[in-house]
Amino acid sequence: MLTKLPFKNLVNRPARSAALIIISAFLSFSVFGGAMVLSSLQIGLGSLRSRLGADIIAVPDKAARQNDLEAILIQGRPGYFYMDKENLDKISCIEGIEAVSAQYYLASLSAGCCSMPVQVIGFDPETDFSVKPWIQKSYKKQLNEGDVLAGANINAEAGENLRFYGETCKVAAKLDKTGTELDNAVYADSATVKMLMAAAKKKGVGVLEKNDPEKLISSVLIKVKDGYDVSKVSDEINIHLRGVTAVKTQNMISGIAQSLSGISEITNILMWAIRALALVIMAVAFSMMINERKREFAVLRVIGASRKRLAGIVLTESVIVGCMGGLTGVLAACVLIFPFGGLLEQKIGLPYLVPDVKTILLTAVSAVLAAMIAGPLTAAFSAVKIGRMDTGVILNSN
Amino acid sequence: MSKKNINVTDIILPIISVIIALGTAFIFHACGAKEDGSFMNCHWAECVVIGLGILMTFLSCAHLCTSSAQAKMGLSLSLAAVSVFTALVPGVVIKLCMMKDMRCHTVMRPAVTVLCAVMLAACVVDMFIRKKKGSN
Repeated sequence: MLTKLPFKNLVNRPARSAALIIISAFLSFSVFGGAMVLSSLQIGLGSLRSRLGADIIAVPDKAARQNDLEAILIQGRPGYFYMDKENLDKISCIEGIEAVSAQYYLASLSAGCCSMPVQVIGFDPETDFSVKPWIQKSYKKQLNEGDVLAGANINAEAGENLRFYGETCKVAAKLDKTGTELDNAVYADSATVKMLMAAAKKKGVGVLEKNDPEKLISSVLIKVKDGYDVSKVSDEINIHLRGVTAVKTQNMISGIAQSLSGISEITNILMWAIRALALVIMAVAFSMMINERKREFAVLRVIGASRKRLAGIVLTESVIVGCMGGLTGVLAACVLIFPFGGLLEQKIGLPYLVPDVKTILLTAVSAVLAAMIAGPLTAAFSAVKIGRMDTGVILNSN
Repeated sequence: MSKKNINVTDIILPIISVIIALGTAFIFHACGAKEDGSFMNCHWAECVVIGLGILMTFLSCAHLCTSSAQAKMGLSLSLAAVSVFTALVPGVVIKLCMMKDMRCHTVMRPAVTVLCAVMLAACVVDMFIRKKKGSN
C-alpha cells in the first residue's frame, strides 16, 4: 500500500502537485531553453565564419565607410554598391592571394508576390569558392540564363519559379541553411544578372540602369595563401588600390562575437537567477508541505511505517514532481523555441542556427535529469525533518 | 446539460478555438497589405484560418452544451480533423510569402501550428476520457 502512496498523494492534491510541477518546469525550462538559445547563437557564429569562406572582402571605400557590407551580410538589409571591374585583376596580382571571386549586388524591387525586397547576388561560377559549397543537393550542371540559387530562407524549392522585376527565374538549387542573413539572398550568374538588369531597366529602375555588370562589380572575395599574413595582404590592397577598402572577415566576426559574449553573459546570469529562485521556492514549498502533513506522517508512523519509509515517500514524491516538471518545462521550451526560432533570430539580430537533433535530445535529457535531481535535493531537508519528528507530540497537539 | 458530463476539456476546447479565431485576426496576424494596397498570399491564409477558427468555436460550444456522450465524441473527432486541416492551411494548403523571415512565417504559421497541436491534444484527451468513462 505504501509503495503507491506517493502517487496517490500527488493525484489527490492536484492543486498542490500542479504548483510544484510548475516550479520544477521553470527550472528545466531555463536549463533547456537557455542552453538551446546560447548554442544556436554559437553555431550561427561558426556558420557565418565558414559561410563567408573568404579571409578578406574588398569593397568600394564608400560602402566600407557606411558599413553597407555589414548591412547586407549581417543585418540582411538589401542594398548595392559598385566599383570598377579592373580592381579584380589588380587584386589578383597582389602577392599572397590564393583565390579571388567577384560578386555583384542587386537589390530587387518587392519580389513578385511579396512586399519585401530580396538581395540578388551575382557571382562567377568559374571562380566562386563561397556560394557553391552551400548548395544543398549536389548541383553539377551549369546555371542557365534565368536560373538562380535560392538561400535557405527563400520560400521556393528547386524547380519552382521566382519573379524579379517581372522576369521569371527558375530555382536551380537551394543552399543549405547557415543561420545568417545570407540565407535571405538569391544567387545568380552574370547572364541572369544581366537579364534582371534589363528587366529593371524596363521597369524604370534608374539607379541600376547605369551599373553595367560587364564593367562593374560590388565586392571581391579573397582567399589568402597559407603562410601569408591576412593583415599584411589586406594592408597591401588598401595601399595599392585607390577607392577600394579591404575588410578582414575576422574583424566583422569578432564584432558579432563580442555582442554574442555580452548576450551570453546576461542570459547566463538571468538563467542562474531563475534556477536559484526555483530551487529556493521548491525547498520552501516542500518544507511547508511537510509541516501541513505532519499529522498524516504521524499516523503513518503509528500504523508501522519506519522513519526511512516516510523519508522515502517524500523523496519519491519529489522525484515524480521533478520528472513531470522537467518534461513539462522541456516541452514548453520546445514549443516556444523551435516553431518561433525565426522570430527569435530576428529579435536577437545575430546569426542563429538550431543545433542537430542529437544535441537537442542530449540537452533535453540533461534538463529533465536536472529537474529530477533538484526535486529530491530540495526535499532532502524536509525528509530529514520527518525522521526527527515526535509522533506523540504531533498527534496530541491541536 | 448535466454537470456530471462536463470535463475540463469541455472548457478548454472553446477557449483554444476563440484564441485561434481572434488571435489570428488581431495578435499573430499575417503580413500587412503591400504599398499599392493589394494583399499577399498569406492574407488569404489568415482569412481561412479565422474562418476555421470560427467553425471550431461553434463546434466546441456545441461540444460544451450537448449532454450526449456520443455527440461529444463525434464533435471531438470533427474538431480534431478541423484542427489538423487548420494547421496545414498556412504554408501547405495556401503558400505563404517568399521570404521566411516575414511575419507570416515567423509569427502566424508557428502560432497557428502550436495552437492547433494543443487543440488536437485536447480533443484526443477528451475522447480518451469519454471512452474511459463509457467503459466504466
